[in-house]
Parts: sequence; C-alpha cells; structure tokens
Amino acid sequence: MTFTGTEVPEQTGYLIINEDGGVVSSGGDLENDEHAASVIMNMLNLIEKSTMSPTENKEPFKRLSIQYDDHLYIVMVSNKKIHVVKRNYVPAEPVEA
Amino acid sequence: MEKPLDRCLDEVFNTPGVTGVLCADAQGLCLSSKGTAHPRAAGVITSLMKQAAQLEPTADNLPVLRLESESCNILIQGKSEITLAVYKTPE
Repeated sequence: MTFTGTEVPEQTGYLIINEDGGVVSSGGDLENDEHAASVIMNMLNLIEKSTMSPTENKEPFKRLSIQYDDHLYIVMVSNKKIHVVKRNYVPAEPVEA
Repeated sequence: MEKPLDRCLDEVFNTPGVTGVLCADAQGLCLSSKGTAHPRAAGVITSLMKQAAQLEPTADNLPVLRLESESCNILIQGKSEITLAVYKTPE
C-alpha cells in the first residue's frame, strides 16, 4: 500500500525517509525537501545517541513533534522508515463556562 | 546570581505532572537541572534545538520540540541564548 499523504487531517505535506536519509516518497509542502529530510535525520541521530531520557528510564521515544506558531511536523519511525507529516496547527478554542 | 533562575525553575518544577526541568546555555552547558532531568542531557538538548532552528531558518520564532515515550514527554524550547527542557508525565 502506498502512503498518499491524504490520511491526516489538516495535513499540508509528508516525507518518507529511509535509514540512510534518502527521501523515498514525498508530497505537498515537503515534496523533494531534501533539506528537511537531512535536518530531521540529524535530529533523530542526536536523539538515538542521547542521554536525554530520565535517569531511571531508558525506554525509546516513539514520537517527535516540532511545533511552530501555526503548523507542526510530526516524526515517527515505523518499519525502518521515518515518516514525517507536516500539518496545520489549529489550537482548540478555550471553553467558556 | 542564579537565584532568580532557580526560583523560576522551581516554579515550573512544582507544576503538577512535571518530573524534571533543565536549563542550558548556548554552549550546551547545564545552568540548572531538577528532578529526573540529568545535567548530562544539556548538550544534546541544546544541539537538538540548534538543529530544529535550521528546519525553517526564516521562521520568526524557534519551534517547540516534544519528544514522547510511554512514560515521559520532554518539551524543549529555545529563546536567544537559553534552552529549557521540561520533563512531564504523559497526560
């Protein structure tokens, strides 16, 4: 099955990167965005080698979000591939009592 | 000299759900850390923020990073020379 990048609400672009940092598939705002792929790979390499986990906790991270004022990138690793989705960020309206 | 910073971090640390706080300078040196945040993470946290800033170099503000695992979320924000990481239990 091919990921067409239409499954995520408010999505504006997507990237699928292989283990070596090569772009396997891309679309929308992130179409052929080698720069974003390289920055995200560098970040994941840093996280992988890091000592950031809390002292008593060595479990792996399952998701990275990079959030700007009006959009965000969500990064997950699955089946040895890195999936990146760029989507609009619409903050929930505060509920008035 | 670092008392105001420590007071500020204490305030964040005492927020419900927060398990650790770390503040690092632009060189990745730990200025202060509390709870589950280990001072040795300061370098990686600063490097991560510097990498993230390159994702959209023209953006007005630096992004907020959120790293999620089963039992812990780490929120990272950079502002000028300082990077702050907040360790939280997932909601």
